[in-house]
Amino acid sequence: MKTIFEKVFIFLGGLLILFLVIPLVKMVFSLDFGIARKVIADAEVLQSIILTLQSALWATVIGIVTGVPLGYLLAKKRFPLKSIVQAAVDLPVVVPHTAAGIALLMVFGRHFFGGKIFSVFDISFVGTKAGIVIAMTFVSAPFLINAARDAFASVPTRIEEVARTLGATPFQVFYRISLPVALRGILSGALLMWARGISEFGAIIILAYHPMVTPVLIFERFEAYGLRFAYPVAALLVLICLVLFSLFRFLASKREKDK
Amino acid sequence: MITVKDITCRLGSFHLQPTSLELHEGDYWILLGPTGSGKSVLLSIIAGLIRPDSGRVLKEGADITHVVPERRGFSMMVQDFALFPNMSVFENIAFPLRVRHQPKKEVQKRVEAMAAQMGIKYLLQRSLRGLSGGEKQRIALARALVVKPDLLLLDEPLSALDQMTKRELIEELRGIHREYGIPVLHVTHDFEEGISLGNRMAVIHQGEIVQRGTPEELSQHPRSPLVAAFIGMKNIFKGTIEFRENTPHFVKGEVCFELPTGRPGEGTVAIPSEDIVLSKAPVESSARNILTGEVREIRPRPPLTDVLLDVKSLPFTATVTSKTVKKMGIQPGMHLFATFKVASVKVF
Repeated sequence: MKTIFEKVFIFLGGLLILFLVIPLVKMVFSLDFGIARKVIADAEVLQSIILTLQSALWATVIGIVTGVPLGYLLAKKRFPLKSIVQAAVDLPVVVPHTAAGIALLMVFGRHFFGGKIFSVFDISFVGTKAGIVIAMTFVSAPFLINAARDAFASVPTRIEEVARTLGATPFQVFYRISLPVALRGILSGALLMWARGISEFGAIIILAYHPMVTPVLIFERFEAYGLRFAYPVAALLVLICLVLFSLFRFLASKREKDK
Repeated sequence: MITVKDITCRLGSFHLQPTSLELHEGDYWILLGPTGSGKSVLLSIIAGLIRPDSGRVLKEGADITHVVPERRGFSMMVQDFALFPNMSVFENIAFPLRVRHQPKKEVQKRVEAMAAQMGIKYLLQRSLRGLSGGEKQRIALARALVVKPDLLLLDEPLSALDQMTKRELIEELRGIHREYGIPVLHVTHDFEEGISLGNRMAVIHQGEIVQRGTPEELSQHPRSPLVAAFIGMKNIFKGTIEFRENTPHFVKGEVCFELPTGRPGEGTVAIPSEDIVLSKAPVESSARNILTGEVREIRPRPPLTDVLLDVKSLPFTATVTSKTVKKMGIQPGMHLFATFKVASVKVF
């Protein structure tokens, strides 16, 4: 028997879920087979989807290589200005993404020091895939760092200390215990970072309108041709993301069960 | 031999006073103290997990104060088991060998031998899921011992277990200590656990060792009310347990009394001072142990009074109400009968 209290909560929570789900479901289901085929056959669309998935993957790789150590330090070590470092990690989440793009441009633009340094290696960030990758990394890294931090924090320090007394070096403790135990949390953070990278728009259009990632392509088609031409691309991207994420989730849960 | 010399350490508002301790082969040290007394800090310093502000830790004379934990050869075991959740039982026990890069065959052999000794061979291929507290603690113990450490550090190792499992593990630890002779430093707040296992005991309070000695000495001559209160038990005697007329008896010098249980050999027993009845003449009752002694001292601690008796040079304490002392006119030098039930004697 549900109390009135529970009923009210179910009603309010349900309202929000419907609001979140209905638009996406409606858009995906508006996509009939004929339109879908035409969209896939459109080389520009396909290219942009591949570019988006790839760039987001690169951003995630950068995130893993640097964000996992940062998350570990934040979870396990005490160091000066730690709270400021933690605040800095969350900063990209709270600044408007177009502003983030401008800020990146003012470091990595051709005439600024970051741009100059990388130009030595023949890397430019304006209007290039590299620009897309750094924009995605900037706005989506916090998701991975925080997930890694929480995952490492959930590994009891006591366990790591006991492992030390049993003869393990700090690095052995990390790769034999802390990392395996935290892995699930880190992977789910990486997945979130990848997804967040795929959906990025604001920071990317400032740094690299071209080559066109899918969110930019959707925007351009909507501006130039209207809803009828924009929604199939959007629906396709949403569909691909849903399939990929469901697959990862499934694999992750299967792996957990196998243990 | 492991020596701790004048160690001090400040952690937040906690301050470990200069502390020294010597751990010899065959020693089983009990570090007894309430929560926050600093006993775990001292243990962590010896393990190398916390660096002391001053003082030294020596192993066979060599200064290891600044040696990292993994190079000390001291295995630690803790209250909540600290098993590695990403590993099977086998891999947990094998861990100290793996990090030392032992050959596979050697690992297999030693883990199996250790598990067999701890009676957990049937668990080796299992994951940690669904194991009982006793099983987990046996795994932790096997893991700590598989490399034959030079010192075993136990941090409240039995506090998370039920009474029955606890008794079993006490037996286990005794056996291990007898067999290996590795010095043990065992931190606990439970005196009974301490007296069951330790042959050396130190009481620590507010970052300072307030008294040390054998458990017997501590109970008979607590140097402060704090130690007395913490030990909470008087009349602890170490002696011989013998069978006379098929019943176990405790024998020390001329004193002999009956025990509820016991195995022949060395043993420690305790009689709660509240359970001793004092009388001027022998009383006929169901209590089978009647001893005679001379009153040495009367220590009032209202509303009760501790009467210290000299029973053939064995110091007994009986706790009675202050009213009784007055009514019976108990005075030093007086001869009294001390009666207690066999069932009230605790055998460790």
